[in-house]
Order: sequence, then structure tokens, then C-alpha cells
Amino acid sequence: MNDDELLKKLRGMKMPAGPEADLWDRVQHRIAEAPARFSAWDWAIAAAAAAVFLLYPELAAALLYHL
Amino acid sequence: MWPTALPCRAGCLGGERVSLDPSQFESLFRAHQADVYGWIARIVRDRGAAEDLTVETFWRVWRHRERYDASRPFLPWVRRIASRVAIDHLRHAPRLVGLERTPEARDAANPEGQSLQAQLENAIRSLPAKFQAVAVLSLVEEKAPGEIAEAFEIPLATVKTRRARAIQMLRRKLEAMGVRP
Repeated sequence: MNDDELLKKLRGMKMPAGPEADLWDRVQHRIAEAPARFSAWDWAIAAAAAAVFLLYPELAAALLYHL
Repeated sequence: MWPTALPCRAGCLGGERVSLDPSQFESLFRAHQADVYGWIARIVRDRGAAEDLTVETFWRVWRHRERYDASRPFLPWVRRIASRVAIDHLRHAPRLVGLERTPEARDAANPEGQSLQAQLENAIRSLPAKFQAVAVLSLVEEKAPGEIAEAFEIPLATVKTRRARAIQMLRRKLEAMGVRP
């Protein structure tokens, strides 16, 4: 089998296009059910804040004073 | 059903969303659902997964709706999101599973052809995700290099390089399977 034959075989493997069902209800469910997930960056900030409070607990009192 | 309590994020004016409201979103979904599904299905070659990933894509569209620019075409933007979702799926999907084919292709194939097709499918599935995506879109689905480049946000030359590399890798994998391409 040469390159042309290989390509011809590959072209015979096309996927059918178009969903079998309307996906709108699933999209609505996904939006309604999934709260905005924390990104890795959000977790990094939360971890950094926790580390600061663990290392310098007196900052918690200062923060509460300013709230 | 529609979540009305969604927070107003960036892109809001006076508490109203100006980037993409629910009715606009539904209209865009209705207009582009089939295209997005078809694009993803061609990449991942699994209809069930393609439906899940289409839902995931439109969920991301809604999540990042403040980035939507109504003055620009929606399809290239949603295709870029769909391509990222599909590539992520390929990176985590199990390899060497049977891929779906069109009924016509399945019926037309003789037993020997089926075996070769299964080997081709497994060879494609074993390619690294970014080569697999370019290989199926370019070699199987015959999409234009420019269309692939735009969807994956890569230069045209990269598409051509990946296509050539994918053919080389496919030949090598098929040889290893005992097929002489």
C-alpha cells in the first residue's frame, strides 16, 4: 500500500456529522448545576493566604480589626 | 429551568449583561450546535463523547460570555474552544479503542478491509493528541489546513508539519502492526 492508497483508506473513515439529539437541555442543566469551578490560580491564591495566616497568625487579628 | 441568578461579571453595564444574554446564547447554540458537534466528533471520533464535549464547549462559552464580541463571527471563536476541549479529551482518553465509522464505510468493508480499517483506527488513536487531531481533520476529513490552523490557533506551517509527521508516524505504526503501507 503506497501513500495514495493509505490516504484513500483514511478518507473512507469519515465520521457522520450532526448530533443524534438536541443538546440544549443538557447545556442548561450543565449551566444550572455546575457552579463556577475554582481555577488552579484561585486555589494558589487561597493556599498562599492560608500559608500567610499559618506563618503569621497575628495578621488575622489585624485583618479582623480593619474589617 | 434557565439559571436566572447567574452573577453579572465583566462585560456588564448597569447590572445588565451586554456581552451575551440567555436568549442570544440559545440562538447561537441552535445555530451552531450541529457544527460544533460535527467538529468535535471528527476530532475525537466517538459520538457519545462528542455530545458530552459539545455540552462542555457551550458551558465554557457561557462561562466566558464576557469575552464574546458580537461584532465578530461566533463560529471561529466557538471552534477554538471546541478544539481545546477535544484535545484535552484526546489527551486523557484511553488509547487503542475501536473507533466509530460511517455505516456506509462499515457495510462496504470486506472482512480483510475491516481488519485493515481497525488497524488504521488504532494507529490513529495511538498518535499524540495534537498529531491525532490534525491527522483526522486533514487526512480523514479533508479539512483545509487554514481551517485547522484557525481552530487550533497554530500557524499554517505547523499544520502542514504535523500532517507530514502524522503520516510518517502512521506508516511506522502500521509497519509495527505488520501492515505494509
